[in-house]
Amino acid sequence: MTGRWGTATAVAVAMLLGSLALAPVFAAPTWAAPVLLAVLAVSGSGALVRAGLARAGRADTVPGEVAVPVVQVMALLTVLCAVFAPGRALVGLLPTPASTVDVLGVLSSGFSEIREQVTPAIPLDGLVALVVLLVGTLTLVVDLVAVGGRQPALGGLALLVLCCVPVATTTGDVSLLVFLGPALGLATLLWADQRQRLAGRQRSGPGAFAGTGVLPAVRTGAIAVLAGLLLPALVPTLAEGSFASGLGTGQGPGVSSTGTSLDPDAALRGQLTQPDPVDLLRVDADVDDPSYLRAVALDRYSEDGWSIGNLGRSEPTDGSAFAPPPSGVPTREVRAEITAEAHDDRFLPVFPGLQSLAVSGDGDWRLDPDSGTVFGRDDARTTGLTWDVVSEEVRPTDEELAAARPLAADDPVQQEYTQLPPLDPRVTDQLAELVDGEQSPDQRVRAVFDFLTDRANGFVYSLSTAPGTTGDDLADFLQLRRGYCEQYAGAMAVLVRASGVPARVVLGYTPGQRQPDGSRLVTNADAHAWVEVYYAGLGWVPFDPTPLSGARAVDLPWATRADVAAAEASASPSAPTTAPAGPTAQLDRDDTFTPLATDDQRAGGVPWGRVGAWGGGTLGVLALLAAPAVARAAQRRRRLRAGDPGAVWDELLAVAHDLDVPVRATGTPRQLADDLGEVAGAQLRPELLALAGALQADVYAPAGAPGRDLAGPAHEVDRALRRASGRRARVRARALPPSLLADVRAWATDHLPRPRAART
Amino acid sequence: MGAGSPRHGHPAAQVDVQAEGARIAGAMGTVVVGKPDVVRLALVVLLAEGHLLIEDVPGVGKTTLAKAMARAVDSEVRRIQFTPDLLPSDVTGVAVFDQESRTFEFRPGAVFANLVVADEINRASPKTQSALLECMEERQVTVDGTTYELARPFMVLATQNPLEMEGTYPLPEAQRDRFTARISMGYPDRDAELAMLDDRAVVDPLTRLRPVADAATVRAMVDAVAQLHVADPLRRYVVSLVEASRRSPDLRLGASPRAGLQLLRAARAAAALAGRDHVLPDDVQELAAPVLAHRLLLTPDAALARRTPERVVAELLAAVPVPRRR
Repeated sequence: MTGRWGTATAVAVAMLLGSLALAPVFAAPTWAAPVLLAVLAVSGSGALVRAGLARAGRADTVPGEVAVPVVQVMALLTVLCAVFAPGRALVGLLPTPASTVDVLGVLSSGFSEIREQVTPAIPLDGLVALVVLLVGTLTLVVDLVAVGGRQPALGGLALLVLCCVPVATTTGDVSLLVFLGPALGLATLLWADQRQRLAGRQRSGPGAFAGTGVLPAVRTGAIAVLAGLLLPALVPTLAEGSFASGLGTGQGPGVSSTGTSLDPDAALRGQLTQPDPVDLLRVDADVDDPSYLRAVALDRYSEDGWSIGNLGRSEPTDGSAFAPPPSGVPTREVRAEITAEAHDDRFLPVFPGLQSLAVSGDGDWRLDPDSGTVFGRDDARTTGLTWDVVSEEVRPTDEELAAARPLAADDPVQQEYTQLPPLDPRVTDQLAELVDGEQSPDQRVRAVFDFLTDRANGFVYSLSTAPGTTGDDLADFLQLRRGYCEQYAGAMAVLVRASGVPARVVLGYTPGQRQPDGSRLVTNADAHAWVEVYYAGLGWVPFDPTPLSGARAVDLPWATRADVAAAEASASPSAPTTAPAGPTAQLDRDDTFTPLATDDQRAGGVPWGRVGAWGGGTLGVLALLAAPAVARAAQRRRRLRAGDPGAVWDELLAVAHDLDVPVRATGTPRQLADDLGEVAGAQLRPELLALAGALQADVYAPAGAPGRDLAGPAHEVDRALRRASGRRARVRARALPPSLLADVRAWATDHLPRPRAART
Repeated sequence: MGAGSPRHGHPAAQVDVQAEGARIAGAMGTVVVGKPDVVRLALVVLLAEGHLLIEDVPGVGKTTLAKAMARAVDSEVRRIQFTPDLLPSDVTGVAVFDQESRTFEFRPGAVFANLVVADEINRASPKTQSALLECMEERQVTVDGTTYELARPFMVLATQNPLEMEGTYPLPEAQRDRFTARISMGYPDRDAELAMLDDRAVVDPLTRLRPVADAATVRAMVDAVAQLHVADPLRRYVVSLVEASRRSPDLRLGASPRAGLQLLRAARAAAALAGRDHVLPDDVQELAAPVLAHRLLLTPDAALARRTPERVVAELLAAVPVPRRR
């Protein structure tokens, strides 16, 4: 049994080497220890069980072979429980039903993490658990094929799966490790294969000893490694992002409208493909901490989500229509000069509380006083324009907000900005938990705002959710607690409205990055969505429930996030920056983001293309697994159709090889017929003799033999051999035909450089 | 029969080798009881125009085999008992000065016969041994510048005592190589031995043996065998076997090219005796051990491991693939 121990060790080493391919997928190496544990547990438990069976004399029995994978699955489960759910495991180690459920929970969160993270991914529990499950299962399969099925080389196919993971998920150049690790693993398995083959030969014949297998294995391994290194250089690869840009706008080169505006016609997906931020606006303000730049307010909510209502009025922007700042409320005057760089939109981004606007050029810019939106008439667009803005920002204190009274029920603002379609019960249930009718408007707003911003409630920034704010989207968001600014703002506005307080969603930009010259640069990565709530006597007050990074967060002293309030001194929470799209508040998701849990590690969204690549990779692996059976079937068809006795006998002997029917390797036709007859049965002796006679006549007789139907007898013999073989042998013959592998080896022996032929 | 150029009897096409062979073998079988394989191998060697080395203890019927074959084909048999004082001229013949005619007259030696039984060949001096072995190869004798052709068919059945004995000169490998095949008679089984005792008590079965063929028929059979079809794959197979023996780690000396030639000839004879018009790998496999084993020299290691040449040949057969394609 030492041979099996050796093969089991080779499997473990090969899988560990192959797992190195996963290194580029993760940002930190903490995934490695659980994977190591899983591989050792699976192959170690398998080897132990096999050793026990051998000692009990029950090796190679069907119950024995079934027991091995069962024990291995248990071992894998134990590792998963011990690592990921020790709390409810027995002695912190052994799986219990409760801890198994915990593990399943971790695994399912892993699927979400796959969707949310980009590589290199943070090794969060769920993701690592999935990888442990993947590698553990692969180890089990390879162990089954290599040790149980005695086909170590075939087990190497599984290493391809490990290769596929980083190839499908990482962008840019694929690390050398991705090929080197699995290649070395494959070399290990090939060595084990060679070793096993020689060990087998040693039983049957003299003159062979296991040591001779090392050199060819090393040589083959070296060739495999070289091929692994050279092939990637020769295979044409997609440029980074090219897959997604293939799905893009198709508007040709140049700056398209997609990245530069909130135009309703903008194609969302184009944004996905912009790896570099596009400079949109240059802002020269007289304050250090300007507020958000408003572009457009989404004041209508229907089943289809947030959208722009009618721009009801169209007033000139000469100052006559600007609302004066509310009296008795602290305000801050902000003067700014805003220049459009790549920005090209019919909505003019301005600071809230607009008091004066002077736009260069001769475009007809109009104001809708209700929504505060400045828009261009007659195709006026922002391209190349500069506009001077004077605004009075409302800076209410907490006390002033708390003192605000509810609006009268017949107030037009109250009526218009609390309109809602019937809401999903999940939303209303949630709201009922947060507010009650006795609370002041501010209390209700705070309840909603704190609910969304308190980290304890488990809201996680995620770019993978569907881009929308329809009823279902919001309900999903509230239940799954995963979303981005579009959902955060949309949900808050809906909840605030549902609690009876007027609210709307605003699209625009965070004020951008400060430049050395003191100005600020706004890029498409600064696009954002937030909420404005109407307070009686104060007007529209902005709230931002989305976690923004410290550099981009806008200081809203009256709306301190619950999580920030809870950890005032700690590092500023992480944050996303998002880009807007059409008026249905679909926001671009091409931005960078750091999840709340880990401030200093970066991750982002996985485009669907990558998911497709995963799927394609899986299909490819399946196709690879089916390849031996398909190739064998084709080979068989070709041989039998040829009708040439040599080909027919090749097929018969291959069938015998596949079914493990003992046949003299160097038998004469007559001896081969005798050997097959031993298994096929005496009633097939005439067929076998006819087949042997045909071969003799074809190869050794002076004149060509008359053509005879050989396929018929060959099928008869084939059927008899299969009937006489066990089910396991039959299945193996179909799925992993050993004869095919032998053919490949023979081909390699003939065509690849080799040391002098092994002595026989 | 004496010296003389070979005569051609029946045209090859008209000889049924299988039937004639069966008749000869049957006749010999009445004398060499219970040894059909030995009889058959002797017949194969005869038809392959080779020589047979019989290695066995005295008294198991080596001479009887030779005599039975000679009687069955109605040809001349001579027997030489090799002793240390046997001279080469005793084997080949000698030119004697005739006082009356005052000329040298050639007195043919023992090799001038169709079948020559060379008993205990390893007891003679190497010089005498080599004289016989040269005749076997050349099929002619040259004495004092005159060349005398040997009879056709001509076959030497040499016996050799396998036991280590005082005063023996074991055949060197170069000379063993000249024998087509080596067999061991083996003791007869109990029934055959009983029958033998019973028969001998009455009359020697050899005297009852009637000839079933003549030398001319054998010559025709030999010619027919020589023309038997050998396919290219079979030639390749024989060469592969011989080559494999040279690469074997157990052998100090592998099979010579002559060994391959004689293996193919013997296989032809076997195929003809089986009534086939072509040679099969089965024929080669059947004859590989008797034809090759006595030519192989084991390495000291292999000898220490108590491996035998026959075993090595069996392993060669198990390792060299039989061609399945033209």
